[in-house]
Amino acid sequence: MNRVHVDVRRSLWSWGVWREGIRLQLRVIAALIRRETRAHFGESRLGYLWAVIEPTLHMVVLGLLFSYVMKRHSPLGGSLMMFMLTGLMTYFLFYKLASYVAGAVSENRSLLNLPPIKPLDVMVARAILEATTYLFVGFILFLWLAMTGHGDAIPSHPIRLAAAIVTTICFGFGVGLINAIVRIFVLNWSTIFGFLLSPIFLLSGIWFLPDGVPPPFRGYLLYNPLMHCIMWVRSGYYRSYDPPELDRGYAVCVSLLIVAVGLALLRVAHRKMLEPT
Amino acid sequence: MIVFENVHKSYPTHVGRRVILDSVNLVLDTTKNIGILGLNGAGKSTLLRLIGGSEFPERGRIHRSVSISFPLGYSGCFAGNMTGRENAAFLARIYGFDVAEVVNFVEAFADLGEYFDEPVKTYSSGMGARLGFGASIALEFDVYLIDEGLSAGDARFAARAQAAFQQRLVNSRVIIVSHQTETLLTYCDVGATLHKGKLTYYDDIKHAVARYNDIVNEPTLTN
Repeated sequence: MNRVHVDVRRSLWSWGVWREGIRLQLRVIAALIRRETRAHFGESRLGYLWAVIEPTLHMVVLGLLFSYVMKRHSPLGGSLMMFMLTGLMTYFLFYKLASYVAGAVSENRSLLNLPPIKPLDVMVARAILEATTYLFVGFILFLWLAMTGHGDAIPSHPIRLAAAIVTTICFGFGVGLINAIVRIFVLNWSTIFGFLLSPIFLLSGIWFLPDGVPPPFRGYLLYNPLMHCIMWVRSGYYRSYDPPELDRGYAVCVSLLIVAVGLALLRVAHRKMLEPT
Repeated sequence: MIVFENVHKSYPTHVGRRVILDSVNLVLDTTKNIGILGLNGAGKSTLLRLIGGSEFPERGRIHRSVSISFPLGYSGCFAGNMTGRENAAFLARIYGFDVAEVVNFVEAFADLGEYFDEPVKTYSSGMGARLGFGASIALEFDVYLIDEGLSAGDARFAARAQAAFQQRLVNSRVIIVSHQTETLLTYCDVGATLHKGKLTYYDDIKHAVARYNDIVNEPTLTN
């Protein structure tokens, strides 16, 4: 009858224990994704559709707005809209993950009373769901733009693009992980975080390319890993865009570092997280 | 077996930290039904959460060699906009049980009729309790954790709950925390008292109850 959750930390060196533990976590994450889909996207089937339509409209409106305000030729390719969307989609993939993952623990506190569910499971489940939704939105948008003649439907360097997206997801998840923990200690952290992010939104190279920025400032801007993520995505989409400023190693290292810091903080704050408030 | 190894737990309050477990070393024999007695606020519910593993001690470790339920009838994990059926299925998935089997059991047991397919937020508190109780009984654990009273819902349901529970007691055991000595004397073989950070074990529930009555009659020293 011991097929239920039993403390699996007894012998760290047995492969069976590891396998059992991994299987348990995968099972829990899968169940959580199903639940989140229902709980987050509402009762009707339209709920999930709405979850896709909302960000799609958001992207389109922002893209049109920026294109209209700038009133110039696209720095890359023929379509300003396509240029905007490659930037906006990358930025919001990061932003949605960072904020949505951050809320996972506080909004699912009651679930953490079930010992098989660990805080990390709730966060991973949300990240998978949110990233999937956003990638789907991105896919629809690019299809729509390609069909209306704004650019190629197939990215020029698909593997490069995939690597850029994975790095962005990693970065967003890591920031969300850290946010979730800071939230326990700092009241109103989500508001402060939103405030901190607003300059980042303007300075991540969504609507400009860094080579247009004069030297001292360009250097400062390039510390922002999101800037690199966006350049990387564009270098994957556009045929001949591979700027010398783009440092893929930097983006990967920062993302992995942020995730590592997040996991370390989670380990420290784990008990505090489970205390009833 | 549930083994407490130097377990320490306290909570911050306005008047300093309140110690619930003060370096407790104890073995709970899970082949017996265990009753844990303590005054209001002694930390019985926290102790149950520690045993179940939904909370962690500040120091020390708790080893478990058996599967342990969530507190019986716990309905806090139900999502309000999901139906009773979906919530039951979720619990089955989380704990790795056969989903159809569990859902059928809960449907028959909780007797919610059409409401089983309605969102949980439309339930009355009695219906919520029935769903919670049904879901925890549907999942087979070695040890069930019970906080306070056993009965849930109306008298008719309470009788059915008792019957179903008796059936589980053939293969499973319970740990009950309560301050109602009669319940414990009916269900439990061995006992423990939780008082001022000390968890004391007794081979016979009668001794635990006797000790508890002493504690109740102690002149109160307010701190």
